[in-house]
Amino acid sequence: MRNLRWAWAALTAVLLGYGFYQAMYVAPTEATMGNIQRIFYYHVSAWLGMGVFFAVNLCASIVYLAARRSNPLRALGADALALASAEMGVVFCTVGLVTGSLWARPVWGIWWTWDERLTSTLLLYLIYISYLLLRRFADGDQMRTLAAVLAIFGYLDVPIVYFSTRWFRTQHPGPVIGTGNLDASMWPPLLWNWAAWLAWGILLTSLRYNIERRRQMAEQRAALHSLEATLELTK
Amino acid sequence: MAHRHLIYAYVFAFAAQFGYLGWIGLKDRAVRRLEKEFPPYSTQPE
Repeated sequence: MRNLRWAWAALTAVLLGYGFYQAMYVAPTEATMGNIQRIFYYHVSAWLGMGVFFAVNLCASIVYLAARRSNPLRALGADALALASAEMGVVFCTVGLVTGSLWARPVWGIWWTWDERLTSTLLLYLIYISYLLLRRFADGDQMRTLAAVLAIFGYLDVPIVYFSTRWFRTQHPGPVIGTGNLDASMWPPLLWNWAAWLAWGILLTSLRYNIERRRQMAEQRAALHSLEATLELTK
Repeated sequence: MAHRHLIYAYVFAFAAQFGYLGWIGLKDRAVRRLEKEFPPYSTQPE
């Protein structure tokens, strides 16, 4: 497992390097925006990462709710995965929001606008921040159940974010994926960066999942230890 | 301004991701400490 993780980390490093090279040196300069458009390759990759890891969080939360009574061990594993993927999704969401704002300032002349895409994304960000805060400041099975329910409700905002540029006239540019609006020469840099950041996300999520599982086990041993100590006292 | 913002965006993307990796490292250290206090059960005879 350790060797596999190192191999995955090496592959990720190569992909990140190649993705950067593609975005900076291979991708053509966009006709109207110039070089600032190169933010697009990291910005869109961040949104893809966010969508993927929030979807993993949703699935893990559903598994937790389904298995929490019948199979508590599996439920704990699902809960650890839900936490790891939510954190990763929030990191990607932060990158997406900040890179978008850095792109908007020179192109639109403003850092932020309250259009449907940006507002629904900010709302999504705040929902998952509150999910992480709930997990940080509460504990036990009730917290896990509440967090799983919040994750399911939170994910309802993801399709709204995705379709907002199709449903409304937004300041944010219209959809480019699946509409033929992206030049063919821009696809390879985008796909390389997607692959690179997804590989990175998988690596970090697996590390975080592993740590959370170890923490759960250690906490169970700690609880058992205190129970044993109490029994000794009552003898 | 455009070039500066492009650099900021790429630097921020890496800083945020590696910052999170560092935070995972801190979590790992905290769990190791907890594991030292409550070590995993062993099947080996003492």
